Amino acid sequence: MNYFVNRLLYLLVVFVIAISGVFVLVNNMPGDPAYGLAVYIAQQRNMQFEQALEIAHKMMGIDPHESVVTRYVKFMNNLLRGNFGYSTFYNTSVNEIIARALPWTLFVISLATFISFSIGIYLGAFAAQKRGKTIDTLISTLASIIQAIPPFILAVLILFVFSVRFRLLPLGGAYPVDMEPSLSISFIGKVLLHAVGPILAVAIPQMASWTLSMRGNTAQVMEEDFIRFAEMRGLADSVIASKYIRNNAMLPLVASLAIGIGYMLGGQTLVESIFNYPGIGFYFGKAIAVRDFGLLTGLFSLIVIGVIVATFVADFVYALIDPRVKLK
Amino acid sequence: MNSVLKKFIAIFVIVFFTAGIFAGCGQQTKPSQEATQETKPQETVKTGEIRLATDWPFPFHGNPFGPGGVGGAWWFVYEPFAYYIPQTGEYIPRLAESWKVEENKVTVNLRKDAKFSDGEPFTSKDVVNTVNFIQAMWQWPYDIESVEAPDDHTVVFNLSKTSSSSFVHTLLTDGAMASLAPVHVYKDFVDQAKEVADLGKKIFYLQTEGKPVPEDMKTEYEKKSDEFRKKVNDFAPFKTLGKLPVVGSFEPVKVTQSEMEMKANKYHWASSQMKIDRVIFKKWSSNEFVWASLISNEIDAAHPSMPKDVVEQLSTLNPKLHVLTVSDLSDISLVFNFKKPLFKDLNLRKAIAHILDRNKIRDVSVWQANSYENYADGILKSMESKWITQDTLQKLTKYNTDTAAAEEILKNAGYKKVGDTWQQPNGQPVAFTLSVYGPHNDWVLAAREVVQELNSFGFKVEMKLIPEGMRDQVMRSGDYDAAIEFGSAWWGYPHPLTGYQRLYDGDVSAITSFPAKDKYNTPWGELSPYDLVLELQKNLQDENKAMEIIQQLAYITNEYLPVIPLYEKVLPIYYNDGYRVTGWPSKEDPIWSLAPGGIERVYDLLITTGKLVPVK
Amino acid sequence: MRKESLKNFYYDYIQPLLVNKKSLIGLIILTFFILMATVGPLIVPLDMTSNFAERYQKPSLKHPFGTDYFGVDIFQQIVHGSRSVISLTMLASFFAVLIGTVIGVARGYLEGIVGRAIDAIIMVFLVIPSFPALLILAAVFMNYNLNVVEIALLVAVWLWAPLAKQISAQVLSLKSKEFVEASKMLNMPLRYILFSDIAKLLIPYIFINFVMQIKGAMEFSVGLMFLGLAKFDPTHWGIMLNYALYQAGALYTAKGFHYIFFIILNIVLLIYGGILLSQGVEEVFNPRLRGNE
Repeated sequence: MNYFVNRLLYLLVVFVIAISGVFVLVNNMPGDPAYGLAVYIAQQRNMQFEQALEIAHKMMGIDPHESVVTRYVKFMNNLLRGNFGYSTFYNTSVNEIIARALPWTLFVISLATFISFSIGIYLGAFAAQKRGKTIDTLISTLASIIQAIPPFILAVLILFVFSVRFRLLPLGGAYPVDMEPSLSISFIGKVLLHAVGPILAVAIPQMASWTLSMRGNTAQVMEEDFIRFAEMRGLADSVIASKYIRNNAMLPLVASLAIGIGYMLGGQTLVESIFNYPGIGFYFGKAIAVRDFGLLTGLFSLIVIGVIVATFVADFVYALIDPRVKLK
Repeated sequence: MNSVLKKFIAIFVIVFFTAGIFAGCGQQTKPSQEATQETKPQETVKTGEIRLATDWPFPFHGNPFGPGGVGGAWWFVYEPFAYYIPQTGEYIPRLAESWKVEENKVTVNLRKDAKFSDGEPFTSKDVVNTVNFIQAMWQWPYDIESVEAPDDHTVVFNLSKTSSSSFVHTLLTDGAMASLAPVHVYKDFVDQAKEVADLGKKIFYLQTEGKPVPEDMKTEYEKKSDEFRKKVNDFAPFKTLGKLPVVGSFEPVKVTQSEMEMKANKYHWASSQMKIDRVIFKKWSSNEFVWASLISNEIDAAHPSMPKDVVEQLSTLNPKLHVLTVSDLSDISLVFNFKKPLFKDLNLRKAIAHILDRNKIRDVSVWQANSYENYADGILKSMESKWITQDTLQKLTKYNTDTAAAEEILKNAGYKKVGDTWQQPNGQPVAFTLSVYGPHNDWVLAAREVVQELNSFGFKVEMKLIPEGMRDQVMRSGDYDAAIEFGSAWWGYPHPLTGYQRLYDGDVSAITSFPAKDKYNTPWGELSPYDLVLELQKNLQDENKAMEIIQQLAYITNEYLPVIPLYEKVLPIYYNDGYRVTGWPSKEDPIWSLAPGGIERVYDLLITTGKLVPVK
Repeated sequence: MRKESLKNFYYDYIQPLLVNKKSLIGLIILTFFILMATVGPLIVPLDMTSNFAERYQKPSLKHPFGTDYFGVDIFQQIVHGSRSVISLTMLASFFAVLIGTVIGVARGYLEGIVGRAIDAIIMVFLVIPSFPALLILAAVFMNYNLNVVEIALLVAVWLWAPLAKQISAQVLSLKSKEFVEASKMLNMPLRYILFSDIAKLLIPYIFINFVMQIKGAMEFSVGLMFLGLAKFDPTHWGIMLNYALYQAGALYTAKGFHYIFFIILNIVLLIYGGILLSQGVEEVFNPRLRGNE
């Protein structure tokens, strides 16, 4: 278990550096969250701008003179207790925002990732084994093209074709407004139906890049000596293909998968706003726009932690399925 | 096969374990508010429903003083004393039955049948508490020196002597003034609110009279107001009470991140007329979503900006969809930074006014907008005929697109064209950057066209985008040469005074540093626009005098060009007639002019007067 | 001597690429775009004068790609925009690949505490979400007048980490392979092992990454332009696409189909050309794959 303790310590160091980096970055961002409000106040009450800014700071509960160090200590202290901070714009704890928005984001993203990864792996391996044949050209050309299309075009297209033109999918929201969340079949069905659009918009481009990466990896593995050896042993092609080639080609992708999932905790701002799907991406965009430093650092921390946890889990799984990594 | 299975299990583990951890974290931090908010018993007696699009803060707190307030539900939740229709100048009584304006005193007689959605009657005590609250929370409006409630249905406002003449309009029509803080909801805060408000007023009046304010009074105020503000900010009626008692026509009953459901206030004074008892708000998450929703009948009305060709296609995509436009009471202008020597030269500004093809700028930027073809007099295009006399128009310079005229002006002023580039009299090229706020798409388009036209004339202009969230800061600090901004704007009190105040004594003068206090040569003698604005304010009631001052201001604005207006912004309103609801008024109906600054007022008025009815 | 090595270089590296079908087509496509960016603007004049009456004209001899929402010729804009696409975008992905490769190889080769430290740096850049971080960085640098190279570096800072991670893994696994061991035993200098053996094997890998980065770099640079950090260029393909989608709503009207189509066609073609070339490079330089052909 020494390996994992080591790994954990290492990730902890990464965590501290990354979080501190994010904090420094966000705190050096120009802009004052109270500025907009101050302009409004100055105009409404016909007063000096500096005075209005002071009032605005008070109304939003911001202390502009608080030192960066104090803020940093406070922030770290909170974070260690699982408190992601406080949003000045929404006047609520970041935890509450996360609690409400994250489940939907996770739902869409984990499904989209699972689907795209499974199909992408299969297609990529298949194309590599048929290297040079028409089917390979077809798969890799298609994947390259989809990969090159900007994702928001795809989102708008899906919305327009499925929800507007053919009315196959509902428009907006995570479930119908008339329904109450429950565990009934009909409710779950509706939730799934509402998620189809966003899932497709996230999954299709991902699938293309998984296909391309898997195709490359498989091609490499195919030429490894142990595959030759297996062939010589007279193992059936299908066994070699699934047991040896696919497994080994997939291993490096597991790490990217983990990082990808962690990243996506930040939500898909564009997809979410085009489909009006509740999720955390919306808050990320807003936090930058209104200079809500508390919310911003909170969401950044969430993603950083997400990627680190996912990496750790990936390491663990990696060790389980790859005999070469030994659990010392 | 077994190993494939193993692989999939492995992926599953990664995906769902990670997901689980975070979902788990989320669950733990999610206390009881879920129970109160999302599992409310629901009575679904449907008669009529309308679906709209807007924005609101989520998690929803239902506290108007909290950040984001109640979002787009505002005008359904809080009613003002009256609605004002700019096009006819008519006040439509809402919470007030009638009112009387005397010197520094406004007496409002409240509607006797107004009730909150929980059945509590609406009385003058609620108004008094509301005024105390907003004065304590927002340090505004100190124009109200005191407010009294002689009986349950009468409120007397005593205005301060320094109160501006347009404040009566604000008092009557601002949604915050009447019903923001009902006593029965905010009962724990009533005394504290009054104390903070009184103390704040006392300090403010001392300051305006130029008298010293005792330090201990200041510190006491700071302490008390902070305490009060914190207490109010932490109060979330929607969470703690599980409901939001409203005096307006609809009460939010269920709020998620993407939808808000509102039920009709059964006790509303106009409820017998209302044929629609449910409003669904969809989150305005993106223009694309709103377009899609309008086309597919998912919402019944909205006001997104839509490109011309998309609108032209609407009739084939959805024949039930109609569109009209009303003035948004503001214009988009080219503004100059008068701290830069380049723009101090009136000749250059005049030349620019002649170079720009304002019709074209309108076309590419917001095709539905009203273009200023010839003048730059500070009066909104749609209001010009009402406020500018023919006689004045004769006196004004016409800035029609005429590059020859521009060259003439420049040459006479000592500029010369060397090669492709114009040079200033001092030999420097005419070069500057045009700043524009990036997130405002239509402004960026206008800027793009302005830059294009000026460059092909022979100036060296570059476009610079102001990042999201930095507009006020950049403009206020004067860190720009020229910019695209709101010029004249008649928000609040729709009157030339509001526009000229903005140009010479408000936001625009603050960002441009236009020397408004200087005297300018006019047919009426040497006049300063700053003084004229003050004078106009004093003579608002005297129609002839006011009209005369407006002519003088129009002349100065047109001849000395503090800004060059590009086009008058309009609000395009799209409505769906005959899918869910019908009974929309004709496109010429003055009711629509109530839309700028709160389009929900139009919907509210149409519903509460029984004009909008569900489709059978 | 010199001539000889040039000749060798040609036969070793260039000729195989011209023989391979994929890399040949890829090369042709890329050459086309490079010509477009270098010579194109000299041949094709750019007239950005908007003409609202002539908007959304179908492709014709006068307007090979038709006209856009403003009535401006799309073909001219594509040609002139290719310059900023190629310069800013390609430069950014080039820097990203360069940083990623150097750090990745270094990590793969260095052991002990230095290696761990490099690993931690890679990890830090991996865990910080890149796009929002870039947006913030852009705001931080708002008032500096950065040139193209500096902006490309700024973008590259947030793109290199995944590549470095992958390369270090590759190097680690290559390091244990027989031929590297053999080179070591022959007492060849570290430099030689690094560049001759390992780098050769990594070339295809790096190449495909370079291509994949282009898309990311394009999105990033558009983001920066809208933020006002990079100089706003209305003909940059990404900006054109933004106009087409958000301002002109071209997806919603049949008239606007060609507007979006031609922009996407060029983006897709550019990236597809890159992917083809990199697949060709992979087949040519990965000796094990070559055997399979």
